[in-house]
Amino acid sequence: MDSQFMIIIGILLGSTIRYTVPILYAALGGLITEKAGVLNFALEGLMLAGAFFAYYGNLVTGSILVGVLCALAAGALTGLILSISILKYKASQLVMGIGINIFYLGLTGYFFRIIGSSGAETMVDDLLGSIHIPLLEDIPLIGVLFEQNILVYLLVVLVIFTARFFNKTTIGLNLKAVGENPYAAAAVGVDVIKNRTLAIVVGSMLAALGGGVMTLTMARVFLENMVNGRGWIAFTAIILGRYSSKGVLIGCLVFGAATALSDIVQIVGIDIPYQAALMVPYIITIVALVLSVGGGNAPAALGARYDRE
Amino acid sequence: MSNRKDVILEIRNLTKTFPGVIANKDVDLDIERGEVHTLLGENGAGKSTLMKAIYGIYGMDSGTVKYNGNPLDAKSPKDAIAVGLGMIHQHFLLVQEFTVLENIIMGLKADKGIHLDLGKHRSRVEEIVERFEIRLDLDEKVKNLSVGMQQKVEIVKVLYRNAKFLILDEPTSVLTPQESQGLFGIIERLKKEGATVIFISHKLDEVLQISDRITVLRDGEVIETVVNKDLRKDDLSAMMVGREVTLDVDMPEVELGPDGLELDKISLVNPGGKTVLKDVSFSIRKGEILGIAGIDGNGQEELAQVLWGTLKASGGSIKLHGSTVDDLSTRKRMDMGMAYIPADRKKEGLVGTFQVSENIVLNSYYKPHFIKGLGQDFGAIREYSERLVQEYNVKTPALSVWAKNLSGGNQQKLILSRAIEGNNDVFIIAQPTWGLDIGAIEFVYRKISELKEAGKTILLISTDLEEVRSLSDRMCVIFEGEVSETFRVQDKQVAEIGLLMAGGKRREE
Ligand SMILES: Nc1ncnc2c1ncn2[C@@H]1O[C@H](COP(=O)(O)OP(=O)(O)OP(=O)(O)O)[C@@H](O)[C@H]1O
Ligand SMILES: [Mg+2]
Repeated sequence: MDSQFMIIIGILLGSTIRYTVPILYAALGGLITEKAGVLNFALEGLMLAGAFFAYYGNLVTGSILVGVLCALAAGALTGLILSISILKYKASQLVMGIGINIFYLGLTGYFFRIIGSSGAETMVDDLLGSIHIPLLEDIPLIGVLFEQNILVYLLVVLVIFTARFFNKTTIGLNLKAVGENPYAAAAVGVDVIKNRTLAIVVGSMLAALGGGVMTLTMARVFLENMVNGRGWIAFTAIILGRYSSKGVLIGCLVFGAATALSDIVQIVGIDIPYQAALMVPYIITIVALVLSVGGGNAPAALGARYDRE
Repeated sequence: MSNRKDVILEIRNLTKTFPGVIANKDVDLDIERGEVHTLLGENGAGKSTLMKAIYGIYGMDSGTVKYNGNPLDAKSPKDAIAVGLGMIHQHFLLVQEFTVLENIIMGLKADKGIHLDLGKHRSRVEEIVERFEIRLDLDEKVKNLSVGMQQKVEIVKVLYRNAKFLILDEPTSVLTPQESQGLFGIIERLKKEGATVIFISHKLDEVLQISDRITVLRDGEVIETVVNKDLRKDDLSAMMVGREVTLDVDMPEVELGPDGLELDKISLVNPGGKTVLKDVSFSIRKGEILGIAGIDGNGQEELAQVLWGTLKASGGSIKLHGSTVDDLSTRKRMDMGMAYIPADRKKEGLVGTFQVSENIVLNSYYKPHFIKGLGQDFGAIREYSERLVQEYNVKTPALSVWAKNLSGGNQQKLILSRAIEGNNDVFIIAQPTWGLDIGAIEFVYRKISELKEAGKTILLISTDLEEVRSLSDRMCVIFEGEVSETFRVQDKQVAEIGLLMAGGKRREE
């Protein structure tokens, strides 16, 4: 095999992971929320909030950990606001979600301009280091998979955990019951509001962390609207992934790979308009998901409001 | 005398209102330990509401409940379950997408940690299922179960939680007499083990059979409590409705017309590859009622759906008024005068979160007389709904109430009214009296006889053999997707029909 090819594969795999990780965090978060029967339209805004606050926390303190915590806190707080408005005050899930998206688009853009105009250094220097897994990292071609940063490994654990959570734990079963038929769940003593609140908060934290990953380990800087539709890709991945962790994983990976591929195409200089190249990942993702898993399987009570009788 | 009683549940001054309705008014009730206590009352009398208030599903406006001498102020079912109550709801509260086993164990805590030990649960559930001789496939998804089977899941759900005080809200309304006897066996057994049971049913024979005491509710108030001794059915209906009711119907003699509905070798294979219907053939003439008896889950629901066009037959052909409708949509069949009263009113009959009037025009909103300009003629819809609600005695505080908030029997009346009043002439009627009080049953039987008199074609599907026998001209029995020869009702003995329903004929062959 010629070495140039090897290098290209290496780059491809590496950037597939980089593109996949943020949306997979968000999609997992969204999945947890939706399994409990609440539509999560706020993924885009949550990612944006996470991206900004992670960046800002890191910028001010110089600590990546603080950055991560800031993203999680922003997610938790937003999740709480969503929970209260949707569950207590019966606000529309759609309107609240879209509202959050618009809010954070404005807020983060505004804050960023303030920081930028203060003349301070806006680039965070400390990137999260990679953890090399001995031996595995030396495997040709796929070795790159084993020299990732901790947030990537954490995500792998989370994906496995979520799948197990839904299928192999009592609380997972209860959460699914709440999403399928909250009245039936309540009748056997499951606290619907508590379950939904937890699902929204945890889901929002994960989505925000997905945004945080972008500024902490990839861009090193915040840019206005830098999430740029990734939240919506995550949202789509949940639907087309048929509301399973596995489906969501596949969906996000396909998107990551397609994006990576379109980069390569541009770098290698194949002659297609760059707008078209940018469009390709979205098309490939949707086609692939529709072909592989199709839609359907949504929790029966998804999006429906719940009134204690 | 009262001091000798061992009261396990004490209700005092319980009042519960909904906007526009007093569902329970100053209810006082004592339930004694170890008894089977039946609540009797017309549709909408407030039986279910009273139970839900105790169980923590509804908050009550005022009143107190004591259980075992301690105040029971259940804020949610969790509190009630914690002290040993278990309730089977009139409308199943099951997760359709879950398996039977998952439905039974949902809401339970793990013995240790959060690990879901399906294997352990399975063997424990199997033990119970065996002990009480209940046939149930634990791995089937609930959405594939007939209503009778779903009822059993609900029963096992309560048994599995080891409830000491059971509230059974119309558990037998969809069961066959045999199945009901099975349930009574379970109840007797539980009673011996010291359990207390509140039982709700409109079937007076059952009530007389199983109850120790009976309390009658009317318009949300307790009328009286009687000991079940030397009581007759007439006494009960008189206490309940305030007059005697007979269910003996005099079916009119009608000159039969040409075939209104013909089925030729209808068969259906479900997505799982199982044959659900096999070569079902019969025809019904105008002015005739053909009854299909059979134990629930033998293909009745599917047969009705194939006729209605919501399931596509794998083979065979259906003719309506002599013309083939196999490829026609449900809407087209409706336009040709077909009407359907489904057995599962929650799944196929109503949109729970639509208003009463919206549900009433669900099958006709698009007809010219309900259209004004580009939208609906709400005035006409209101007028029509008002008339139906009045005529069919659907108890509702307003036309704008969500259908799911009607009492079970009143939901059924709504569905009946809309099908019967729609100017239709071929009727598929499944379980028409499910959950109705006897006054209402009398009314429905009269309506069906009027349909017959008007020369309509009627297919009656019911698990209630008595109902089939007293209404039909001819009948047949469905067993495992096959129907028997049709015969005139008077030509076969009940015992013989019972044998057919159990698949007797097949076994002999
Ligand atoms: N959630 C609700 N919202 C509004 N009204 C309700 C609600 N639940 C019940 N009602 C009303 O309260 C009254 C009593 O209803 P309930 O369901 O207790 O009757 P029931 O005795 O159980 O009748 P059935 O025999 O038909 O089941 C009815 O008028 C019903 O319309
Ligand atoms: Mg009731």
